[in-house]
Amino acid sequence: MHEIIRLQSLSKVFPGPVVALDRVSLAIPQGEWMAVMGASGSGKSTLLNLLGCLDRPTEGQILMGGTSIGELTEAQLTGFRRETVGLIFQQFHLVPYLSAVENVMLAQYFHSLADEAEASEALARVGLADRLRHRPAQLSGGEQQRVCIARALVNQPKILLADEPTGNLDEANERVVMDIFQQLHDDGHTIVMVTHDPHVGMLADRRIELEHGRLVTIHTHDLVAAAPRTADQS
Amino acid sequence: MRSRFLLRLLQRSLANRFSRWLIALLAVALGASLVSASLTLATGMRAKMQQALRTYGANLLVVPAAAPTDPGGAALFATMPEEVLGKLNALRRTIPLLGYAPLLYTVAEIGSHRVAVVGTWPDAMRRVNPWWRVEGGWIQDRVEEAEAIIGASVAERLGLGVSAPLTLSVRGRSRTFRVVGIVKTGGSEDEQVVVSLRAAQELTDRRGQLNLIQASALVGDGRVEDVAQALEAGLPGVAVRTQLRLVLAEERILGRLSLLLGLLAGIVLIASALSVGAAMASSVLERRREIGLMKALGASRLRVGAVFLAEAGAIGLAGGLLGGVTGVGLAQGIAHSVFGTGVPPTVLPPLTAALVGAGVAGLASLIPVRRATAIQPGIVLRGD
Repeated sequence: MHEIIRLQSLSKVFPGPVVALDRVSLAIPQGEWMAVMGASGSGKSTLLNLLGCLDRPTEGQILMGGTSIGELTEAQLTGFRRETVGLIFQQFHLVPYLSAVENVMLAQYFHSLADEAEASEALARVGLADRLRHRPAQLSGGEQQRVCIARALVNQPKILLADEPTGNLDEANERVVMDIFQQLHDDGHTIVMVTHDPHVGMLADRRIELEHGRLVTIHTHDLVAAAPRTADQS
Repeated sequence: MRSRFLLRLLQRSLANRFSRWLIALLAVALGASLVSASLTLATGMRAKMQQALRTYGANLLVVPAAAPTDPGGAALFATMPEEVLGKLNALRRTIPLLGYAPLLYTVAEIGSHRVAVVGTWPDAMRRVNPWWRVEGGWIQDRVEEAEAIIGASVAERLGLGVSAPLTLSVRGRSRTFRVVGIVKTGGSEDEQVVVSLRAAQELTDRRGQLNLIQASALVGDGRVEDVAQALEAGLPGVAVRTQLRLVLAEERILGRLSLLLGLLAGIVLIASALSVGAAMASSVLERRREIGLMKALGASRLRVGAVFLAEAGAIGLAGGLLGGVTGVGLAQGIAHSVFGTGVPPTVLPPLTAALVGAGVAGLASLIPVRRATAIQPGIVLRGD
């Protein structure tokens, strides 16, 4: 499988200075489900923001589908994000005054054209065909997360980025949501998921662990290996 | 399809924050109502004044060249030949004259009293001065030489009533008339005696002479001065003056009123702009995550800005329309209390007010909207 994402000695330093990511190098093949794990403040969300084109690296390079996103202008970056990435948030970030279907249509509106039938179909795929007209406040946490997944999927992005998608869910809802991710993975989606839950992480093809912004371990199923140290890291 | 969803988005968003937008909407409505009232008065009252001028009396004076226009002036007794009337009549083919009345003035003695006497064509005088209130009747016709209408003040001063005999003497020539009517206008007519032109010419021994002609022209949207110029060109040896004092006085009041309303509208619109700007700033602050989400979903700065400007525009338009319609009612009230008449409502002032409202709201929102478009999604969407 050819790689869809390549990180080359990627660093992100916030003013302070706080080193959130420290020379991380990584390649993600197309169709892989990768879990990013680590303690709070280890740089997981920073990595996801960089992959989601929501932020820019301080140093290093991100190649996505051959495009070096660090070289894009803000408008190009927005366009690239729109076409390439689907984002799933721990806090769901649904617009409270819009119904479930309208929340999905919002993503279509900013991508190209809002199509209610297509948005309804995306919600039906995550089991919410009977919740189209419900507002977020009328939905359970699990249902809200499924709306968020439908919204991320509706524009058929190349990469799905999920930040603690089960972090706010109870066990039953967590199972439902993870089943959906499993299905998406089986359908060939590339998934990068930040989680601190080992059970969730175990479902992924590969788990990486970050510690103080550094990539320290890569788990591939039962195989545990030290992260390959690049020349920059050594 | 895209604009349909934008409308849906606007509808949901505005309904969700309606109570917060209400003050801004009312502020815009207030400013727009003053804009609409000012425009309605300016356009409606001007049209009304033109109409009034056409309906209620002479707006032109044809006088011998270099004669003063003041009927009380000493040099008023300069005369011109009666043939001018024939030429004036011929000009009616090209100049829109509604009517005209020749006048010959003199001062006559009634016993020990002196009164101003005006000789005219009674029927023409009646047509160009339709608001005259005459108790009794009018002089029968242009050739009637024994009937007179006297002003109310003259009647009171001399103790004369309808049917009373009246003897006028001018430089030793005397004629006796019968009072057929008493006119009351509240103006100079109350101090005058009106007789037929022929009777006045006989009395003053100025046969075939006139002092001036009162004429009423249909001005329409044009200027009365243009008609005056056209008349002067067609009538050699005479001067044509416009009689616009009343209209000018009303125009002055209207001008000041419009200026006052315009200034007030400007001040209120500035206040409403501040109100819209504050409401938009607060909305942007509250919706930082929503904006971040929009950008995370791929919305460009322009699209985010368009969503918020459309909200401001909708509030401005709604407030502007509300104020525009209210302003028409306000203009009616002002017109009735200041000018004692209504104004014909037209579509343009409320429509202009609505657009002004939308424009003010849009301009007032530019700074907060600019802030909204600069929001970094990575920062505002970061997990709690």
